[in-house]
Amino acid sequence: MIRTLLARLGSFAAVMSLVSLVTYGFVFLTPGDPAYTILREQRQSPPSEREVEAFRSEHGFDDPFVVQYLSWLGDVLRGDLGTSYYRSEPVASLLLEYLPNTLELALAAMAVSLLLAVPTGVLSAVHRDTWIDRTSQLAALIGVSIPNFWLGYLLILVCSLWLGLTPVSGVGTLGHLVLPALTLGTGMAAIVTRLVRTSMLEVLEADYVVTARSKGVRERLVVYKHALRNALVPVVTIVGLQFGFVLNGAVVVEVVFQRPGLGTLLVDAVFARDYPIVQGVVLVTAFAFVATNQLVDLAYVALDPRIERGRGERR
Amino acid sequence: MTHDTNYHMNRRTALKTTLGATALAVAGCLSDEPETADFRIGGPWEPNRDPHDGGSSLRRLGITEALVAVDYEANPAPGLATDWERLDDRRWQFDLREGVTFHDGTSLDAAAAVESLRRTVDSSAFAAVPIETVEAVDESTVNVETETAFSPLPSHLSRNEAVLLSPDAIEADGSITDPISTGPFALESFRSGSEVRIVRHDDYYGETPSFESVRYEVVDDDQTRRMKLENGELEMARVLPNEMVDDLEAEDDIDVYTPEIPRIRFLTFDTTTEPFDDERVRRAVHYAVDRESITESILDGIDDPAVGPFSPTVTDWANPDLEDHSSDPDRARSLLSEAGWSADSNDVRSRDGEELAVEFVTFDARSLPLIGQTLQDQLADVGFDVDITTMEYSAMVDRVGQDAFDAYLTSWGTLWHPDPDRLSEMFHSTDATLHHGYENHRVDELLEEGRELTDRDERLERYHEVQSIVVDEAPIVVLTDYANVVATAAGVSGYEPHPTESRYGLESLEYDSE
Repeated sequence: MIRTLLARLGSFAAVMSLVSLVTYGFVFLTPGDPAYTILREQRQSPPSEREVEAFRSEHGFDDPFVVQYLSWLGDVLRGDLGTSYYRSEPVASLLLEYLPNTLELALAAMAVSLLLAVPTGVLSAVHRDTWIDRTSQLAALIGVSIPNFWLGYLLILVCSLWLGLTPVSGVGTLGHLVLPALTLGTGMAAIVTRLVRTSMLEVLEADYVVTARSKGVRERLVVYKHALRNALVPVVTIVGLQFGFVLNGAVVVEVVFQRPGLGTLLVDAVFARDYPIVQGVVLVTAFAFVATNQLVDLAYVALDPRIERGRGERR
Repeated sequence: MTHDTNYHMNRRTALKTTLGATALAVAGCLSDEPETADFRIGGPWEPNRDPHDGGSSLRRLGITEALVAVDYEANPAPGLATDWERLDDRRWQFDLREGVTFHDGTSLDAAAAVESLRRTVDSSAFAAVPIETVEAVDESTVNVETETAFSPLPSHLSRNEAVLLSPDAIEADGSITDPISTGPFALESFRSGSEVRIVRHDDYYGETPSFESVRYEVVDDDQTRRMKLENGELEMARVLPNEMVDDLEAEDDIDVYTPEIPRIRFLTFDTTTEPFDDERVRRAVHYAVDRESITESILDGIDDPAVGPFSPTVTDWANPDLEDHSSDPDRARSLLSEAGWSADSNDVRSRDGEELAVEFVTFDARSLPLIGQTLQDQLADVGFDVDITTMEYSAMVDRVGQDAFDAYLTSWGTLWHPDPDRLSEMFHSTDATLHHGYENHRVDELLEEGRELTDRDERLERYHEVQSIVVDEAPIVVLTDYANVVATAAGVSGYEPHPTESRYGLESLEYDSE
């Protein structure tokens, strides 16, 4: 167990340093002089050459790539993610300010998607090839196809401007969270619905379900108690993976609903060439991804020792 | 079997714990109801705490003030200095306003002003301003000496980076967390990238604001900004797209303002490579363009066709004698023929077997790519084959800065500090940051003289001549002026748009929500 842990920590460190090197490299190769771009963003007007030069030397842009990277890496290892060029604020405190908003949105969207998808998927499977099934399939298709920003505007128009139920945008209250969570959640729900349906169909044909039925267990109990619980296992795995993609969709939703989150922070930073923030967000996101994966793997081992013993069979 | 049960229990417990924690986390995030304010503004710009990082939002909201203000004719005007005098070519004396207190209660004196100004002078923002020393002469007088004779000094001291901060606002390492200044409003809370809350400064020397508190929210998305205004979540929405003006004007409870600002859209040619090294070809573009149809069809008739770098309705630095360029395709055609580009019954002109094919680079701003397409059509009429490449702004600047190009289409603020010396950055052979490679000794000479002279009329004469020359020789071809679209709730009164957007004038606003 200890050896596994150490090996995992080793690979973790390797992945993280590779990620940091690759992002740093990409950032370095992106066309566009950060000094010029940031000065222009700040004053909304192009800067003069002397100002650009002064800014460059102030922030050490003239050093070679390796020097810049190592100096950045050294700071990160000491727990200092650097200071934003554009805002002159520590990257770490910006991340701490923005992260909760993104997590809140991601979790709420997941909740929405599960609440929509599980019942629909089950109904769809149980009433396979009926109008219920076809309607839910069609709904899922529409859900996948609608662009997030459009759905967002539509929801604002109907729920906020016409019905006056929710505020248009912002963060803080449950009212502020409802529309963004619905916008982001429906797209995911569409995918999860299909998954629940497939998984249910498989399970409903399993031997133990047949046994349960032949024992005379009521159909409702068979479906919801025996079948659904097992059908959800692959769904949970996929939903866990999808969590990462929520960040992706969050960028658009965060802009439409004016939520200060990691997505907007990153996109703004890329356009402003505010590299310390780009690095910080990518690093934190990568950390979350890798850490979650490692934890899930470790959790498998802890929960079910058969998995470690049977490693060879599992690829 | 036992093992199995354990497994289920574990999983179930884990699931419950996770769900519980999640619910708690979400509830925790949601607990803070956003504070209300007497007046709420939404705009796309992200405020920064340190005026050196741009500082425009703090200035506009009325938190920060500088020695020199900008008046509604876009000229330098008394600010925290009530008066100034040019003692000789290089020395200036500024008299501080009496009875001014910073938001933290300390009073403004020459020592405080000097400390704040020195920080500004040493920053990269002022790298191009040749200030040598800043000294306190007595309690209320500050002297500034420049390395060379430099007339635009007061204008530079009106910039958002040159605002005066309380000595206590400047931390030991020179950074700023709380921009304590002297304006009618003081910063109350600052959430980076999302919102700023300000409260009335009761000791303000000028007009007392009617609002006790104001909130500025960063609302990046145009549609969202508009819908927030319509839904009563904002009282003022700034920088809306032109195409929303008609709809908003039709709404009873919304007022729309479309003030002209000193900004132009224009084409910059590479005057060092073919075909635009030939003045006649550049002038052909100038005559082939129908500016009126661009402003009418793409800019909803809100922005005006441009006649020169400055718009005569914004500033009297504009040369009033520049001709109004109504399009003249025939003149464009004859100029091209003169330059050897012949039509020969083909749609695209050619010279020595080479076609008149050019590439215009632009960036993904609101209307520039569309204007590019219109130019494509208009120039095709006289025999150009124009290809439009749209890039991200920084990539475009890199591209035209490093390689030869044909032309690029961009927009610039022409009076971001209120002095025509900005023309040096556009047309001086060595100071220009536009990449046209244009060199004209007369223009250089005029710009250098204009930078040194004190007398406004003498300067005016030189800058007017510069404008005549560059419009004639066309290293750039101006296309349109620029308007800013601001919408407010109909109950808002007293709003007067400022030409250089130096201030929102919140202290003069009233809001009646009925």
